[in-house]
Amino acid sequence: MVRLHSSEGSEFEVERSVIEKSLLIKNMLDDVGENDAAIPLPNVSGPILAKVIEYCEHHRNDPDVDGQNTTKPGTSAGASSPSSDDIDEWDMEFCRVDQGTLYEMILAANYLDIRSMLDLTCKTVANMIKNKSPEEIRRTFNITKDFTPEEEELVRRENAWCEDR
Amino acid sequence: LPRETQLQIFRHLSKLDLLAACKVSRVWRSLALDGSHWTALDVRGWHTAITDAQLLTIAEAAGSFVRHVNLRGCMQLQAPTLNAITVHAINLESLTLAGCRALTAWDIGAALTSLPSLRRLDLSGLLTVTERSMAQLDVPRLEELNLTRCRNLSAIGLWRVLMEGVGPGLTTLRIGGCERAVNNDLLANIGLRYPRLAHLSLADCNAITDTGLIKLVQGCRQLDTLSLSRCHRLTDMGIGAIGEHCPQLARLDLAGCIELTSDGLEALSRGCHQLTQIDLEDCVMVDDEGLHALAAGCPRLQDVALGFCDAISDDGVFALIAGCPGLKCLAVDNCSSISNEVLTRI
Repeated sequence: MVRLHSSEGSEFEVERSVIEKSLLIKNMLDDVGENDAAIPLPNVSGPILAKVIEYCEHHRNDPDVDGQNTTKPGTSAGASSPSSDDIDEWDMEFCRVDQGTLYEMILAANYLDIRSMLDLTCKTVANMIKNKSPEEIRRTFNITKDFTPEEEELVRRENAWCEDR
Repeated sequence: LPRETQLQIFRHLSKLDLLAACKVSRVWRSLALDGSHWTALDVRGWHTAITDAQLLTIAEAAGSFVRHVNLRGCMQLQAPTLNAITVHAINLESLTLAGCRALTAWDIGAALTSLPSLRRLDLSGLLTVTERSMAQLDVPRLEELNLTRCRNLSAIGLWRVLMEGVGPGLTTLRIGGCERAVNNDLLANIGLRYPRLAHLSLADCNAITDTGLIKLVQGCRQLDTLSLSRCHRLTDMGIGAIGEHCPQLARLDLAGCIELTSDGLEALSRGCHQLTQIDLEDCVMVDDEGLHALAAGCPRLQDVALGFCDAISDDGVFALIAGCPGLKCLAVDNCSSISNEVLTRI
C-alpha cells in the first residue's frame, strides 16, 4: 500500500498497482523503492485526490497506455478529425461535476501525469464547447466579450458565413 | 488553467468549433488561433461559404505551422490571403488552388515562388497559370504536380516549370488538356529528366505523336499509370513502344486513340504483363485479335472498357473472359457486333 497526503494533510491509502497509473507517483516509487513514508501532494486537495483514486481504481485493469501517447487506437486527438464522442458511461458520470472541480481534476491529472484521465477531462470540457455559438460559449463559461471595436469589426467580417452557429 | 492545458482542451475541437471559439473573447481568440491547431487547412464542405477575411485570419495564425492547404473552389480567395499562406510556408507540403478564380496571374506568380518543402501542388483548371506566372516557381522537392487543363500555359512556360522549377523527384504529373504546352520535344525531355515518374496524364494533348511517346517511355520505365486518351495522332508504333519499355504499367487509358489497331495492342501485350486496367473506348480499329493478345499477355486485367469498339465481336470478348480470371468490370456499350450471348456467358 502507498500512503498519500493531500494539500490539507488528509491521508489516503491506495494499492501501489492502482496509483501507478500516475507516472509521477510511479517514478517516485521506482526511484525511492519500498518505503513507508507518505507521499506529499501539495498541489492536490483531498476531494480531488479522492476523485483521482476513484478513477485509477476503476481503470486499474485497462491496458497500459504508453505515457507519451495521448491517443488511443481508434481515436484521434490529432488536428485532422478530433473525436471526443467516444467517452463511456462511467467516465461521463465520473466527470459530471461542477466546472471548478473539473478544472481541478484536469490540473491534478496533468500534475500527477495520468494521460488517460487528462485526456478524458479535457475532452469533457471540449464537449461543452462543441457545436455552440460564441454567445452560447460565453454563457456556458461565464465569459465577457472584451474585443475592441476594431476587433469586433474584424470578427463581424470573418463571420458573415457562419452566423447561424 | 495554464495556457498549455487550455490548448490541450482546444486540440479536441474541430476546425469549425475553433472558428466559433475565436469569436468568444480575446483570450479564447488567441487560444483558438494558436498555430499548432492549424497545420492543416482544408475547406472541403465549406469552400464557398467561408469568407476571405476568415481565411486570412487562419493563414496569419498558422504561419510556418501550416503543412497542408486545400482551397479547392474558394472563388472568394484574395491575393493577400494566398500571400499570407505562402510567405512563411517553409513547411508547406501540399497546396491546392484549383478553382481559386479570383486570383490573377500576377497574384499566382507572386505567391508561388520558392516553396522548399512542397510535395504536392494542384493548380488544375486555372487559366491564370501562364508562362509569366510560373516563371519564378521553385519547388525542388515536388512529387506531385497537377496542371490539368491549364489552357493558357505555353510550351515555353511548361518547359521551364518541368525542366527548371521542379526537382527530379517528381512521381506524378498531370498535364492533360494543356494543349498548347505539350509537344514531342517536351515528352522527350520528361523522359530524360524524370526516370522515377510513376503516374502521367497526357489526356487531350493532341499535338503529340509516336516520336515523342517513344522517347518518353524510353526514359520513364517505372510508369504505373498512363493516360493518353484522345491523343488521336498516336499509332501502333508509339503504343507498341509502351510494351517494350514499361513493364510495370498497371493502368493505361487509350480512349479515343483512333489510329490504334490490334497490332499495337499485340506489341503492348508482349511487355505490359501487369496491366489491370485498360480503356479502349472509341478505338474503332481494334478487333478480336487485339483482345486475344490482351487475354494472352495481360492475365491480371480487371477493368476493360471497350465502348464503341465496333470491330470487336463475341469471340474476342470470350477470349478476354477466359484469359483474365480477375476481370471485374467490362464495358461493351455501343459495340454493335456483341450479342446477348456474352451476357449469358458472363
